[in-house]
Parts: sequence; C-alpha cells; structure tokens
Amino acid sequence: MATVTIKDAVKTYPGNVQALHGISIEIEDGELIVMVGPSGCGKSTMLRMVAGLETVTSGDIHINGEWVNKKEPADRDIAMVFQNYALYPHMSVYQNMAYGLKNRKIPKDEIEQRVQDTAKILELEEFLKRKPKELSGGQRQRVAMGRAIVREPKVFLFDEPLSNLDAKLRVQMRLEIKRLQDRLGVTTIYVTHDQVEAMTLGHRLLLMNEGRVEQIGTPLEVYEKPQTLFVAGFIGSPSMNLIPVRLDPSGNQVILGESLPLPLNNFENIVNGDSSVTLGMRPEHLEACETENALMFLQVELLEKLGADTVVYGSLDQTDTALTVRLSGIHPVDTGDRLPVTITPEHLHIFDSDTGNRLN
Amino acid sequence: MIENRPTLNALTHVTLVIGIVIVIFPIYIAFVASTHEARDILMTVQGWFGTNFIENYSTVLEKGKASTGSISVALMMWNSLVMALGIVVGKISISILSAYAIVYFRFPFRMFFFWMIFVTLMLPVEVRILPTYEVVANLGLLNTYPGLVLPLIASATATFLFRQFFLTIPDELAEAARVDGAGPFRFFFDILLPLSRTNIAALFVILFIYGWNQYLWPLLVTTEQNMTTIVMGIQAMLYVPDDINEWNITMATAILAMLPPVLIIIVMQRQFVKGLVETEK
Ligand SMILES: Nc1ncnc2c1ncn2[C@@H]1O[C@H](COP(=O)(O)OP(=O)(O)O)[C@@H](O)[C@H]1O
Ligand SMILES: [Mg+2]
Repeated sequence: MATVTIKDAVKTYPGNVQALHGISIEIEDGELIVMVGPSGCGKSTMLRMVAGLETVTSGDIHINGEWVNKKEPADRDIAMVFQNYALYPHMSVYQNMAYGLKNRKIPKDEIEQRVQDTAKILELEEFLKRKPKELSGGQRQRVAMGRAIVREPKVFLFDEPLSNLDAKLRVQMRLEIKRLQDRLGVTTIYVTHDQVEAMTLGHRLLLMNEGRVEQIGTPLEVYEKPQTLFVAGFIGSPSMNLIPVRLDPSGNQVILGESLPLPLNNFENIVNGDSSVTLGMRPEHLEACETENALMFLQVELLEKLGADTVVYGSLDQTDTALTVRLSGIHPVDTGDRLPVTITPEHLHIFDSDTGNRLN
Repeated sequence: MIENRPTLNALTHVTLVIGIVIVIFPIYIAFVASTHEARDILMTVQGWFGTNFIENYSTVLEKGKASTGSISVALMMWNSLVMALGIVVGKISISILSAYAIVYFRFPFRMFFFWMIFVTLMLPVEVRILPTYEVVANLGLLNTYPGLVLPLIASATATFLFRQFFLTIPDELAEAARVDGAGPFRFFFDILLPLSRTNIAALFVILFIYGWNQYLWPLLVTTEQNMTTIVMGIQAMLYVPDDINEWNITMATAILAMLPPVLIIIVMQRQFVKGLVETEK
C-alpha cells in the first residue's frame, strides 16, 4: 500500500532526445492510474523511471513518501508486468513466480504457500510445472501477472500488458485486471495506448502527448470536459468532430467556413482575441431531428450499420467540412440523403485553435 | 522436400552412400591394418581383419612404440585429454564472461575492448607463436599443462558468438531479473548460463576437437617425453629411420586418437545440433 508522487520528471536520452518535459502527478494509495497517449509519447519512459530501470534526468519520484530516484528497482518494492511478459524461458511457471521471492531470501515453505495462493487466484494451478513456451498467450500473460502479484509489492507497474493478446482475450483480461486490482487494492500505474482500456480500467487517466501531460482526470471528466484539442481528439470513438469556426461578436452564433452560420448560443462568456476557435462535437451527441429543428444538414456519404449504432459519415451541407454522426440503433438513412441534425448546447466544446486549450 | 519422387529419393541415397564410403574407407583401412602383424602390412594393404587386435592395442596402450621411446599411448591420450579439456573449459569461461561484460555493462572504452577482441580473430596462434613461447618460457611453464593450455584459451570467436547470442536475449528479461532482485551474479548464473546451454554444448564439441588436434604448440612447449600429446605421438611414429616401420602400431594409435572426439560428438550430438540451429527463447 503506497502513494506515488512524481514531480517535474524530465528525461533526456543520450543524443539530446528529450522524451519527457516535466511530468507531475500525485497517485493515491490504492489508486489505478492509466497513462495513455499515442505511441512514442513517453509513457514507457515514465513507467520505467518509476520502476528504476531508467535514470531520472531531473525531477523527483517518491514512493510512499520515500525519495527513490537513486534506488535500485529491487529496493523500490515495485513489480512490473512487461509487454512481452519477459518470463524466464528455462524456468517453470512455479520457478518464474518464485524467483523474486527466492532472491529476497524468503523461507521455502512461505514461497510455496504464496505461489500456490497466487496460482489459485489466477487459475494457474495446473500449469505450475510447465515452461512458458508450453502456454498460450493468455496463460503467459497470467503468469506475468502472477509473478508481480506473488511479490505483494507496494506498486504494480503495467506496460501495455494486453497488447499481444487477441481482441476477445484482451477484453477478458482487462476485466480480470480490474477485478484483481479492486480486490488487492495495490496502487497501480498502467500504461496503454488504447483509449478503451484506459477508460474502462483507470480510476484516473493521465493523458500524455509528446512528453507532456495534457490532462489528468477521471474517465468521465476527460470525456466530458477535455481540456485540450489533443484530448478531445484522442478520447472517444469515433473521434470528436473538430471544426474550425469563427465566433460571431454577438456571441449567439458561430460561423463555419466563409459564411455558414450555426445558431449556437451558450458562448457569451468566451473571450478570444481573433475569435477563431475550434468547435468540438462528439458524433454520439449529434442527433437526427425534424427538418424545422435542424441546426445543420449532413450530406450523407458513407454508412456503417453496426446494429447497436449507425455511424454516418458525410459533409456539412454546402461545405466540404467532414462530419461524423453516431445514431443509436438502426436508422432509416441512406447515402445521398440530406440528414437534419442537432445538438444540445451543453455538449459543445470550444477550443482555442492556436493553443489548443479549452475555452468553455 | 515435400514431394515424394522415387528417382530423386534414390539419387539422394546414392549420393549419401558414396559420401559415407569416401569418408569411411580410409578409417576402415587403418582399422584393418591395426589388427595385423607388422610384416603382413609392410608392403601391401590388407582388405580384411587380422588376428592381432588385442595384442596390438594392448601393446600400444601400455608400451607405445619402441622407435619413439616407448611412451604409452594411454599417457599420450591422457595428456591430450587434459589439454583439450583445459582449452575447452578455459575458452568457454573466459569468452562467456567477456561477452557478458561487453553486452550487459556500460564501462569506459567498452567498444574499444570489443574491437580489440574482435581484431585478434585475425591473428591465429601461429602468428604470435614466438612471442608467446618467450612468455611461457619466462614464466617457467614449459613442459607443464598450464603451459600447454593457457596461451590457447583466449578466444575471439567464442566471445563473438556469445555476444551475438546475448544480443538476441530481450532486454526485458534482464530488467525483469533486476526487478526480481537478481544482481549481476544471480542474473548470470540463474538466467544467462542456463539459456546459453545449447550454445555452450556446440562450442564444447567444436573446441574439444580444436584442442585435441593441437599440434604445433604442444610440439614447441614440450620437450619431455611424458608430456607428449597423441597428435605429436602419431607424427613421431611416422618417422622411422632404418628399421621396419610397425604400421600396425601406428594405425592402432591413430584409431585410438580418433575415439575421444567421436565419443564427444556422439554424446553431445543432440545439444550440439540444437545449439547450431536454434536459439531457445
Ligand atoms: N533508449 C532510448 N534512447 C533514445 N531515445 C529513446 C530511448 N527509449 C525511448 N526513446 C525515445 O523516447 C520517446 C518515448 O519513448 P517511449 O517512452 O518508449 O514511448 P511510448 O512507450 O509512449 O510509446 C520516443 O520518441 C523514443 O524514440
Ligand atoms: Mg511503450
């Protein structure tokens, strides 16, 4: 049980590659934080710095109040699950799980007890004598988790642990990790590039882009009030419609393209110098409606009928601004149709086009 | 080959049989010769076994050949065995340790040391034999086992092979071990060494044969007859100034000289092939 505090963590790799530009977060005891962002944004680097596998260029990392920047990984009382599992190929499942305990000079019968208990939790009992290569991907994944759990560490670190699994297994293991973390209550940092994993697993998300924090918040906060354009585009599927518009000085409409006004209000208190902003609308918040209530019209170009939803791709009437709409259920709409759509004002997001920051 | 074409099958078999005959034939002649009396094979080549098998071989093992000072071949084989095993164990331990250092530790001039080792690949024993002799002589190691073994145990080839193998082991494995609390020694003995098992087996076979067949170096550093190795022994037996050459004795020695390498290969064959073709990961 522990807190983790990261303060202004900076990482510069040899050759002056700056991977992290000052990451800060306070992680509470028992919390599951998901670090999420596109490939190459520095997630693994941050995690490995917490693990002690990578030196800290500047900044401080505390685990349970203790400054650990200079500590060896083994002395930080953390356990890590690697993307490719990194199981010891020549050791049996039992030996893989016992190895960390053995190195800590824990008595043999206690090791036996703990490995058996962990194997029971993960349903690995019948595989204890097998070598990793005699296991399926999902089973190896479990062993990797077992190796972490059996150590009863202060902090779990996961680096994209599910990305080598097939889609179905991934969903299953995702639930299992969530359940385990709830049950064990161990502080966890989980790294992934998959926003669905992030949204479903995390108590809070830390969104990263190019070595910087974009936003820290609960999944719902991040979804409902993305603080930057990057977060707006990253979270949600299909991703948010982001349309460059101009704010009308009157404050009760925005102007799209040259002269297409959208009578939207709720923007009275937005002040923006040159009044060029980006309007964000989630596809699932746009609704089909009667022609007389329509805010805008969508020229339908492509349809994806998924059963539960119908995703409509098209462009706004008389412009070439692309727009995606997600209608729930099966909808009687066809390519070539002119679909009237509307949206409630509280679902609108306005961002400064230059800085990317949220304005409303 | 997935297809099943009878003519092709026959052809492959014929080719293989011819190959085997070519290899086996001289060995067969040598073995047959070693079972005859000396005068039966002086001017001719015998096609079938004689009756002196036990007599010849016990003579060889106990007394050797009179014309070369009657050192028993058993002693020669012992000398060769000690030398070969010394070379094998020395070469493997030194090279696996240097490869470990070069791959897993960051120290100043790491690449410089690697290239130094690599460059010595181009210098076989024969090139540096005179200075090496000088060093060994000054250390007082002439006519000793260490003198036979030490100068031969540095091995750039084996270091390079181990390095290449270590580079194929994912970094995460070393990191997992670090998180699991394994220091450099633990990591080496618990993880690296077991993973290198098949590579070690393959090198063991290759290096044993290399060590067993050493000729020039033992010839230089040994002057006492009881330090003679078997390859030197055979060479000496070929030269008989004015006497009847006992070819049966020479041939028996040759056959005996072949045995240990063959045995090693048979015993380690499985691991050897594995080590050459696959890396278990
Ligand atoms: N050992 C390294 N040396 C130099 N640059 C590195 C090293 N490891 C990672 N990087 C760089 O740091 C950045 C972040 O990498 P990483 O943390 O692995 O990203 P992520 O895990 O988010 O995909 C990348 O641009 C990558 O090229
Ligand atoms: Mg990564």
